[in-house]
Amino acid sequence: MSEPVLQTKGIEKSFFGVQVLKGIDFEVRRGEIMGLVGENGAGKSTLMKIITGLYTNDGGTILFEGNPVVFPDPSKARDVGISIIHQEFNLFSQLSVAENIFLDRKDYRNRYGIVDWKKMYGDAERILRELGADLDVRTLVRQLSVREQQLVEIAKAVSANAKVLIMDEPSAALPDNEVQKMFHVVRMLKDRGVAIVYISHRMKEIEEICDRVSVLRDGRNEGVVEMSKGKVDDVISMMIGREISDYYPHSRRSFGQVVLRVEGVSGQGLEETSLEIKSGEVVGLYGLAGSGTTDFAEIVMGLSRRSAGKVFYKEAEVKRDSIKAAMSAGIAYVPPDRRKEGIIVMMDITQNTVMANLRAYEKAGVLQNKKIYEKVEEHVENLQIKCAGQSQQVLRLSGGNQQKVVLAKWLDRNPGLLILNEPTRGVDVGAKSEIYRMIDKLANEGLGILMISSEVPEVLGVSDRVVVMCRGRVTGEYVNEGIGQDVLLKAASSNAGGEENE
Amino acid sequence: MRKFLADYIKKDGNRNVVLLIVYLVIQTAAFSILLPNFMTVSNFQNLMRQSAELGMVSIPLAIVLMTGNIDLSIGSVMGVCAISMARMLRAGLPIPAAVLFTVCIGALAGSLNGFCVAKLHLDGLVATIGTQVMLRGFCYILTGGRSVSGLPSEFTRVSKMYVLGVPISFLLMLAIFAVAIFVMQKTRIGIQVHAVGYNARASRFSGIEADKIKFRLFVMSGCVAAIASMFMLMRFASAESEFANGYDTDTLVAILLGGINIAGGSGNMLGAFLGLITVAILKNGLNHIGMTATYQQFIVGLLIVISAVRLPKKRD
Ligand SMILES: Nc1ncnc2c1ncn2[C@@H]1O[C@H](COP(=O)(O)OP(=O)(O)OP(=O)(O)O)[C@@H](O)[C@H]1O
Ligand SMILES: [Mg+2]
Repeated sequence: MSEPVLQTKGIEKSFFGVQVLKGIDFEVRRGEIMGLVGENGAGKSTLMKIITGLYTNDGGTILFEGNPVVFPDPSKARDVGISIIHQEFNLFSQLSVAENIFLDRKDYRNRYGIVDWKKMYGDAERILRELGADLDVRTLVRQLSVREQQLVEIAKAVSANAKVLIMDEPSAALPDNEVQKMFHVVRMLKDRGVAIVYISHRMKEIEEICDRVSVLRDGRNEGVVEMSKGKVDDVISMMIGREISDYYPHSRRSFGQVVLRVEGVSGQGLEETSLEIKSGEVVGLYGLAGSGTTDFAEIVMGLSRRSAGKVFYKEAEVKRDSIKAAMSAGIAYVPPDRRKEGIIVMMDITQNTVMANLRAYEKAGVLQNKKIYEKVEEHVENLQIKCAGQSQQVLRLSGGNQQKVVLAKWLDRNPGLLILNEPTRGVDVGAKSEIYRMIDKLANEGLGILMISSEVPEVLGVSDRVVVMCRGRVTGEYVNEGIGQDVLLKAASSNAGGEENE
Repeated sequence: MRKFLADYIKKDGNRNVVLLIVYLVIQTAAFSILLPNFMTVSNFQNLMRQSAELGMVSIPLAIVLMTGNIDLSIGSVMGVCAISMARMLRAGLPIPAAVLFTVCIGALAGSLNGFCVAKLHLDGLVATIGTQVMLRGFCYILTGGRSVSGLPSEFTRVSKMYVLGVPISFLLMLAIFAVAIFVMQKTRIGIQVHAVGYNARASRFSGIEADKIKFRLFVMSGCVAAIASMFMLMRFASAESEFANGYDTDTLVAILLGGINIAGGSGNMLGAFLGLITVAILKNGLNHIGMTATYQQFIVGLLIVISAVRLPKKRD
């Protein structure tokens, strides 16, 4: 068995007097994919940020190739071969692919400080080709899809001859069908001898790709599991300290009147889409990247322009292109990109939670802080948001807990129809099952729920009915009784409408 | 109490408030020891009169800045308002009617800015530089190059009216500040303004109508500029085409000193108020020392730069 390339011993870390890492031992070997799992807020990202020099630790040591190291900042870590791809990407969207890959490297300047573009583009092309990526190195990063941006991040790491590559929730931003492509690249790096740290909340992926898994719980080591078939249940129970009995609770219930009726709606990325949701019904909307599911939600919500069609909420027509109209009708929308659309990271939990419902807390034009405090406390309790207190900046919450704040914000409006777009992205298994339980409970209380997701198991787990979209059209609709994954996948990659069929 | 203070300082934007209070105390103490004529009633009355108008217009500007916008047309709006007011009074219009019309003119100028920013979605900097130049041009047209004077004494007299020794313009400014602080901290608008400044997209996704907020802020800014211009007109008893020229920069200076983030989002009204008082006292003190306005400019500028320096953040 080879020696670990990277090892930590007894790492400790506190934020404002709250200890989040309580002596963590961690290691990863050459050519190994080491999973790192734990509930939201367990300290995974913090540990990785300490290793790469973004945070300083209060105690413990980091060993790289057997020698103790301390990196003053992440670029120094990258110089010796430890690269990290953060939960949130760090690319410059106005620069080209090649520029992003070689951003802070000096080898592309001649002695007059002038950039050797030819060499830079050539090298970038070579690296991307080796990763099996078909990208023009001159395109601007903002024109790339999420997966392509991730490839650029990987290329950046590889270009620095990474010996260790840390990937913090690399699949969270990817649609399901693109995860396999990423795995392909990851395995290739593994074969080259790179040690890989893989953080994820998707147990399926952990099972599939990891050789070993380290489990963190509340800032402590819970153990290391050698992965083989069936071990994933052990990992889950180590992670959350209990077994999840009923991962997808799904009560039998009868549906009520129609809450949402969408008739032939068109707009950017969407063509004549119709859909109906009854009260008490959970409809899963499944589609791959670019299928139009998000466009559908945004048009219904009045966030983007509707060029044709009608939307009815409980028989009353909803004015087009106005989020206010949709909101006051009773529609709520949890968007997929929480940091850009869901929350305001610089503001605190309290303000974020009541942000969409401020009028409800006004009395003679003045906000009632006590009422707000009590209500937010209730949400924090119900959704088990892990925080130092309501006045904590959302920026300082772990990724999964940020997502819960977005949910709280919309639940606070007591909507009649809840549209959830990738609601469990970056949420840990325990909290995921809480969210599924909540979806079930809300449906039992008579809400209509539209859950947009690119994860098939989730869609099949919680929905009463599944609608599949592809290229801006509905390509399949099924009552969720014994439909197979393959049926959904097929519908999601088919061409509806006929005329475009090859 | 110590914990409260520690928490208070940690909060975004409060750091400047604490630093400014400390600086202000030192500055005032130094002046009153060094300058015999500084700590006198009449000097302070003067000081208050001078800073009242600046204070008024800095209030809406601070809020505009918090939304991530800027308004550089305030001086020109004040110019147009004051000249119109002067001409209306000269034409024999009763004072209340002239006041009303002037406020309307201010609102109109403000809605021009609001229209450019909120409806045409022009960059605030570009739009308000445009209106700044445009409205200043209008000032020249209105005056025809001559100053308008000979205003009724019932009007100019108001600038010499006091309540318990405090000029009424200063009292009005305090009242507007109090209202603004209250609104920003205790009402819906306050939270929404910060939200728009920090993350316009996420605010939109929460149903906040940023454009509506921005438009109203510009209109409000215009109205307040109109009111401020009237008090200035009372003091000077005449209006010429350069009236309040450069006032936009003076206002920005005071606000920036108060720690309002020009990139939007953070900052608070208390900081803006303290910034204003600090600049006013500094200029007044330097006047007493006998320093000319040009040197004063230099010192105030220096202070801004120093206040903007952030010590490198200690890493977590
Ligand atoms: N900069 C910070 N300031 C204060 N507290 C922080 C900061 N960063 C993280 N924390 C806290 O430390 C704890 C661990 O956070 P961390 O981001 O490491 O969790 P995580 O395991 O990566 O969770 P997730 O799976 O949700 O991403 C959380 O409780 C979080 O609130
Ligand atoms: Mg994390």
